[in-house]
Amino acid sequence: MNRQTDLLTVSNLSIGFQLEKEKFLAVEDVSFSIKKGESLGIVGESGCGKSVTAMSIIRLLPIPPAYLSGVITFDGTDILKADIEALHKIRGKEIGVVFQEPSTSLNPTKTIGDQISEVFTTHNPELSKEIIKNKAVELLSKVGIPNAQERFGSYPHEFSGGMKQRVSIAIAIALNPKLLIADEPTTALDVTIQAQILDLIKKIQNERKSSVLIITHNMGIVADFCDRIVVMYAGRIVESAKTKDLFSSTSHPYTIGLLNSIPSATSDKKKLYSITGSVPHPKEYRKGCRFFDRCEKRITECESDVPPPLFKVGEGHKAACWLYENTAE
Amino acid sequence: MDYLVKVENLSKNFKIKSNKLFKPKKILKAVNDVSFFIKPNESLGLVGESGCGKSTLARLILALLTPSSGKILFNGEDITKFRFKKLKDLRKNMQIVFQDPYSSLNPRKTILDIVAAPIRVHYRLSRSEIEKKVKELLDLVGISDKYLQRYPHEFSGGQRQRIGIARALAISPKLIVCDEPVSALDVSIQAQTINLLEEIKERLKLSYLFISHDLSVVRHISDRVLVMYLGKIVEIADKTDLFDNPLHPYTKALISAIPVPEVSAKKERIILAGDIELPIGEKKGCVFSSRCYMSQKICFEKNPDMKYFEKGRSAMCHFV
Repeated sequence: MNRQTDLLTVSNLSIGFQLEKEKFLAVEDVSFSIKKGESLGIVGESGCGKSVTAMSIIRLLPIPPAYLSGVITFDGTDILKADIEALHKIRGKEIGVVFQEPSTSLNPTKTIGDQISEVFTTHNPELSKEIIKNKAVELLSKVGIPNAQERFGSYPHEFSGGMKQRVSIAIAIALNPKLLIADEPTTALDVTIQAQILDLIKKIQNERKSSVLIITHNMGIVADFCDRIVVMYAGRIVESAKTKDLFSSTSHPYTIGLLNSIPSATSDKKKLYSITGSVPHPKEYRKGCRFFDRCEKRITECESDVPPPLFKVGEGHKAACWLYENTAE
Repeated sequence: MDYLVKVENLSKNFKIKSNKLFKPKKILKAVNDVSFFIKPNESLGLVGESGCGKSTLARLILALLTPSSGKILFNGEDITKFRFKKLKDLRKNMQIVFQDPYSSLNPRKTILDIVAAPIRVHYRLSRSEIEKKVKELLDLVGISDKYLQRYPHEFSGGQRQRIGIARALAISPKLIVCDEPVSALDVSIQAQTINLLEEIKERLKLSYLFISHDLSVVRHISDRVLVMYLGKIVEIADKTDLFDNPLHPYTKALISAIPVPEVSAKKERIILAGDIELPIGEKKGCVFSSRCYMSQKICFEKNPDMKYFEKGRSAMCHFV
């Protein structure tokens, strides 16, 4: 693998939270990378640490209560060591973010036009008002908002959920960022609108050859959208692979269970498989494999206090499970 | 054939405020002339996007709203005329499981009180009898009876949804309306809850009206499926027929938009333009015409009639 082409590398990232009386690790020893032009999906259930991982890439987590360790390198910059000036240059300009809930991520007291223009006035203050307005209108029509000129002065409440999400995408891509982070961009939307939004993100990505990091709990979205997938469980990466390999030779028992418990829209299944129990709370995390209590395939090695490392199970395919200790290359 | 619920030409209009003073109020047709039935021990899926009227329809069937016109027959009796005592008796036969297990359980009451509430409303039983009944119900949904005196915050989302299901079952209803019961849950918990709902349905011979926007879940749990768009039912069919061979252009688009967790399944997606409108005012032509990718001149002029096919299938489009 050529290190040069990696746009973002996250190595050994751990995120801890220090609350008044207790502290816990929400994310432990997570490493992954995104190449230029690649789309990576991070999937997992609530509380697995996927969102905090994404937010730490642009240092949006307040410190304290959060504590980060590890190295995040974006295009040559060490994000965790960068000063606030350098961060301001990266946020919005180099990395754009689309959040889950379009109704709360837009400011209700400002017009759509102002919120898009803000990106330009912050990063390119030398531009004239005229040019900024033209650019904003152009962006609005690019993300598929009809009558962009008229809608420039509208407020977020005048827009539907799907339209609001288009506006937040417009803001995120305004300065042509190299990386677009989308944190559950379609979870709040209806199926047909979800298809529109994913189509739009894909189109922009192809046009601009940018990289996309998509965070979701929906296996269907990543299957369709991503080149590579990272599966997280209880704060750790359990499997990472190319999309094709993840679905054709699923390796980690958690991923297998997860895929089996999704009802199918294309065939009639008798009974759904279900993983017993529920996701542990960070305070109850085991030292060893965290899927141990719910796993059907556990062996004696799994009782160990050592967490299973990511064993290589195929070309570019890794799984953190003791089952692959001996077969790993 | 006998039906548990039969709905005939049901409509519900809401008056909404005009944004100008003294202007007449506008009418929103939330449910517009729908007819269908639910058989005993059948699970009927109801799909559609937000604002299409699925929750209003559910409330009408539960007699929580009065319809503007049309009939709802429950066990052959028109419930739209029911008042007071009869309405209360009717509610013994129908219950609801809500979407959000966090807001649908009273945080200040114990699990015992929550599950016992419907029993206390409808029957006069002694404290020990109620406790025995609640224990049975919790056992049925897989919650240990040691938790009787605990409060909702001590349970996870999946467990709370089980408690909500136990409460719905408390007075042995014949029909349970499940309003998005699994959409707030994670995939692994969702599977457990779906299996529980299916198991209970077979054991207690219940009927479900299962509302969801997740089409995969609907395919799994339903026998037949209704598709709604802007207050109208646009297609009704057996689930296998509906998913494998949809007739209505909206159903086709909806099914093609489901993200499928397989990589081999690269299929043509129908991307619908535009947003869902609000069903306000008189509209000529088909409700779906403005977003339809197949629409012709006639679609904007004439409202299509429901067309009926074999195996109880029907669809509302000029071109099927």
